[in-house]
Amino acid sequence: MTTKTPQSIDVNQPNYRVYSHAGEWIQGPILCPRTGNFEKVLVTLRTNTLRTSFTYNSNNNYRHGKKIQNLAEKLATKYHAHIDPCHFMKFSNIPIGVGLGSSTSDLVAFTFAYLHELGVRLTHLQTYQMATEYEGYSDPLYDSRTFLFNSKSKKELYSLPSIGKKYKAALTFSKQVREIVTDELQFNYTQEDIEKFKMIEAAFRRGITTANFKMIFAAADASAVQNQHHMSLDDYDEIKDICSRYAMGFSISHSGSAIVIHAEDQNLALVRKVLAGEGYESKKITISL
Amino acid sequence: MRVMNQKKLQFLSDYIKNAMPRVHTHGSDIFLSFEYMKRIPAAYMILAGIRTGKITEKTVIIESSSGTLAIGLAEVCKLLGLECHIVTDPAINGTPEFFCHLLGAVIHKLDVPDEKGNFQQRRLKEVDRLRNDIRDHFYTNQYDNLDNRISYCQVAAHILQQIDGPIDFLVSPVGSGGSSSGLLDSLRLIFPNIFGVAIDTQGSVLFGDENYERKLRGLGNSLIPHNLNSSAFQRVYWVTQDDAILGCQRLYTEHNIFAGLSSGAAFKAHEHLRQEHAHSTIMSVMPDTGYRYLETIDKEQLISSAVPLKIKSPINLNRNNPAFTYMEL
Repeated sequence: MTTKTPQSIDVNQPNYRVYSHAGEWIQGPILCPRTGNFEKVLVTLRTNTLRTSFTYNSNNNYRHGKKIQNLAEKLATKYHAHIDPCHFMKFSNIPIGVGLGSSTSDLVAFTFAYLHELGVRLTHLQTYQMATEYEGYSDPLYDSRTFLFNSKSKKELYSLPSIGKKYKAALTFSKQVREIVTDELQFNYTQEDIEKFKMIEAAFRRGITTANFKMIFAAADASAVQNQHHMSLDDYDEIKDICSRYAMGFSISHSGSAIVIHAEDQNLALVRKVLAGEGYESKKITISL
Repeated sequence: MRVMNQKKLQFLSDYIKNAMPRVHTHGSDIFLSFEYMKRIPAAYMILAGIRTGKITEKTVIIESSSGTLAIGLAEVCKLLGLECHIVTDPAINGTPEFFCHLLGAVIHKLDVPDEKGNFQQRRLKEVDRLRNDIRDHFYTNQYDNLDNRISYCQVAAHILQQIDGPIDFLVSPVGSGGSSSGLLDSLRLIFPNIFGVAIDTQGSVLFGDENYERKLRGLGNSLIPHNLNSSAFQRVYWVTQDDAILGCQRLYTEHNIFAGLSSGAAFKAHEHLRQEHAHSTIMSVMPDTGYRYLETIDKEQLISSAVPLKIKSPINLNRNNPAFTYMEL
């Protein structure tokens, strides 16, 4: 990463250019089959380069997502200092919205830049930990238990027992791009991508409303496949294989996730209320164990 | 240069929603019944042109069409106050021509086909002439404009909101390649094992026949459109006009869907697939209603037709042997 002291905001002349590579930590614990311990693994992927950019403005007029905003506020509180307004342009080869940490890399990059401006020197690991700590949790789906997180606070709401192995799955669902409104989206996505995201979301909603697991899984798979054109198919399958074989869970993009709710009766009403709050209709189903 | 106001763009989005098909489910038979299917790409291509700044309030719309795309474009242009020019041939006679006139579209109708008996190439030459004459124009170009194909993602979303199981077979009449490739490509994202079935007719070059006079209109082509991804299909049926008429009759009497000739052709293939696969879910595309065809077909034939399915396999394409035939791709 290279940095430059910001003087003014010009989206064509970014103050920071950040290069982020797939092959960084995959979020979430990976159970090592050899030692039985939880470890993190490094997987290198060949992907096309994507571009995102955002502007940080310390007067709270943000042009970036809430996660950066929250992180900036927490860093400002921790260090009692704001940094000057600046523009970030990130060149990344991590596909967006497929649970491979693209948004985390935004936060890590921002933290690096922030600390650099303040003259705070931390190790890369410390910086990474700080960024991800402030990011909060991702939305993991676990093999043996389903955890439901509030998507705003990332606070754990429920830990629900699984109904068994029949519907064991690790899913990603991406619905983040609804309209091409910025140059960056224009750079990364086509109108066809947008229409297909909408179509996948329709399938997902249908699956949720009719409690059709096959449809939910099909939509989740389609979502991942739709993003997959940014990377090689073989590598993507490798990631899926690692996750399905060893992971207790793996993170799902904050921009939208497939949530398969395996709920016991006493929790069902609560779960459905939470889903409704997120804009999803749900339907009660009974599955024989 | 004046751009469209937001109210008109909203009209266009609503127009697309209102053009969505009815999804008829009869057990594991699913029929997508459109009034005029090509209203959807017509509006979407115009919308895309507006979004990208290629269409303003002064832009003249040009297209080659002898059927429902002409109606769709004429309707959209009327809605937006755009001048619309349709290059066509005698196949537009009757209802489509009447509608286009009613909507104020300018019709350029060619009377003489090329030496092969088709109008396609001559129509495209006429389109070129118009494009040279009219400076501020937008040629929607249904054959090569990717937005034609993309528009069917919205149809796929509409379908997915109403069905529950996987679709095993998708039967689509093929012409511009927009609906057939667009729907198959989209639905295959959700149902990767869907079996694509193309409906073509004798004299169409889309799946390898020679270019000669096509009796059945509304599907087939004498050129290969860029929107067609023929490798996505696993089987093609070539359907004659007589079989398409018979298909219309059976579709109405057995499923109460009164649809056009390309729909009848699709239904013939649908029935054949059903014979082979008793329990599979088969979805067929019915691109338009049948009313306009009542002006031109022999109604006595409709009433008396109790002709059994005529299947030949494998394919033996020969203009002297027109029959309902199919081939695995």
